[in-house]
Amino acid sequence: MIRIVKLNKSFNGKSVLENISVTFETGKTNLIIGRSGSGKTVLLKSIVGLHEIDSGEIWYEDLLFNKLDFAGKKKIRSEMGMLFQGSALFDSLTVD
Amino acid sequence: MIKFLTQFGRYFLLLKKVFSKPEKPVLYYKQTLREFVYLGINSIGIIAIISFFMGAVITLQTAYNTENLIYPKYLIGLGCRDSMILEFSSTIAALILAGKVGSNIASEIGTMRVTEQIDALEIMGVNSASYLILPKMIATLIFNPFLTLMAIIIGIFGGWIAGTFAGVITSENFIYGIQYAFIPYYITYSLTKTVFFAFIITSVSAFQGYFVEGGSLEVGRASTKAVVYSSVLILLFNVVLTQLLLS
Repeated sequence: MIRIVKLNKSFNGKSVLENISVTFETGKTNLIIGRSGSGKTVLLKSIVGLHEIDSGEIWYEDLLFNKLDFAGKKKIRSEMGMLFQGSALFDSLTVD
Repeated sequence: MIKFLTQFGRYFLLLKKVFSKPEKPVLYYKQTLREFVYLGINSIGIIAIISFFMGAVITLQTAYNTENLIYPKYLIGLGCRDSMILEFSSTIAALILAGKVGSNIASEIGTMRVTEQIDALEIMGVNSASYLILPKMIATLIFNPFLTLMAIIIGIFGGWIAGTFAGVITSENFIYGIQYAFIPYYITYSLTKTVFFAFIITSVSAFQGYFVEGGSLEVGRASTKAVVYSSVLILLFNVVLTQLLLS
């Protein structure tokens, strides 16, 4: 289960996410919809730790994810998958 | 001022991340070898061409400015040697490399940032800053001193060719000049500066690329900033290092 509590995120003083609280329960498929620029990607990137949040809490079961160190986050990320909007293909690399 | 301090802090936090312990040294080893080719070996051509012609021009200019008979002819060779060792091979070559290597690093890392490749690395548990920047740093810190030595040799050779072909100095006088009152410490001084400049070029350019926000336009701007900031810092550190090492 992933639980978000009062998440706030802003860029250069411009608030993008304000007091977002949501729970994603285990075994359920969740959908986040919204207009372009409404903060869907920022929310997802904040949940996986790609963005440092301004305030709030992100819980993975009983672990407070946003307070974990790099190794702790890495352990949780090993159980995640993320498909990026722009594919994020390593086009400069080849398969050895 | 606050913006400057913020950027300054981000720069050092990035360096801290870059110098954290690598998790898979084998990956870094392979990456470093690739960077030796991209950033080092691929720079040999431009450094060789510019060094040759700079040596030639320094020789000719010295010759035309010392036409008075009271100046011994071997001073032309000596002037070419010292100019190449003290300033050209380290500082001018670093400015050239800031343009070539710096823009390359900033645009490569910047493109990876805007296409979310860096995010993907982070998701996979890779320390992206260390994985992308450390091999480039190691490659330039090791390879640039060789480029400096090469620039000195080719520059002096260019001076010899230009001087003797233009008839402004005999081969014997030039060779005597490049051997006259040689101070080996100048080479150490030049190589020390090169190492500092290599670090500036790589770290500043990587910093500009790593924190790009936006799209292709911003990557272009980051690339330009990388060259400008690296060049200014090289000139600044040139003064500081010269005072520290030669005083």
